[in-house]
Amino acid sequence: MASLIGQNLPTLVLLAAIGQLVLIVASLAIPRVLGWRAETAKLRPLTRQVFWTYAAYIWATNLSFGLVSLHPAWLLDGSPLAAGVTGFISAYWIGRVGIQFFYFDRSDAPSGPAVRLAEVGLVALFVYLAAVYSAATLFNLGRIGP
Amino acid sequence: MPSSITFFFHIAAAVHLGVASANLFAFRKFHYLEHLAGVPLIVRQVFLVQNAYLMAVQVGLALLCAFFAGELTSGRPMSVAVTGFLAVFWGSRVVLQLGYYDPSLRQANRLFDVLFILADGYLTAVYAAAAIGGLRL
Repeated sequence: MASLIGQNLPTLVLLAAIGQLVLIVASLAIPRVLGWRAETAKLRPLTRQVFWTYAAYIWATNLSFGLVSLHPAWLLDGSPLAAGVTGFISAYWIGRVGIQFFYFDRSDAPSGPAVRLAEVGLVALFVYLAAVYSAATLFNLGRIGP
Repeated sequence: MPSSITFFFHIAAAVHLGVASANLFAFRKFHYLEHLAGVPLIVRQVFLVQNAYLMAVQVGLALLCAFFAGELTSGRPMSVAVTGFLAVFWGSRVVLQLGYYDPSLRQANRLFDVLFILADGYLTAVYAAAAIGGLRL
């Protein structure tokens, strides 16, 4: 099983790249769906500007993960840097899965089948990303082989 | 790539930790939680998660600079990609500080403003030097 994962890791990382690039395009709709512009208009200017700056940088971070993953050979070269980067990306997405289930209160979030479907898709993507980058980390550490 | 750049990466690690800890300080100084009390819970939670994630990214980058300085300057495609992206990332942060944040707010918080510009400018310079140096190897 571990060997099978190792052999297919380049493809799995490439799919992760595509998933993250789709995510960053789709996430451009989140402010409109959740009404962030109207909601953040109630904030003081500094807090509002910090909110949007944070949002932009999280978006850019996700973009960077997607772009670097378009080159699976770079991320799977077995170097300490590759292990460090894949380890960090896996921790990032594992944390995101935990936040989705244990922190976010969705009681006042929009409802309906489309939103529900989007949320299921989003969580499935987070789980996939967490799993693939964890496997990539183990590969770079020599724990699983091709 | 001169080995002395390792020294600059170690300083960059300290800068990253400084910026990360400034976020904690900013919470109290600028009363973010009080200001967020008037918005829906989900917006408040998104703000806090974004803040926590950016702090985690800063700590991750500090570890990268502290322990992988040699690799970041190796000239391999991965190193050039990482340092090149981080140069753009922090360079754009300088542009945001100068062009996006309200001038009156920057004036009122001049010390923070100058420190952020210096910190982000330093990180931009170090990552850009590593990326450019890596491309020449």
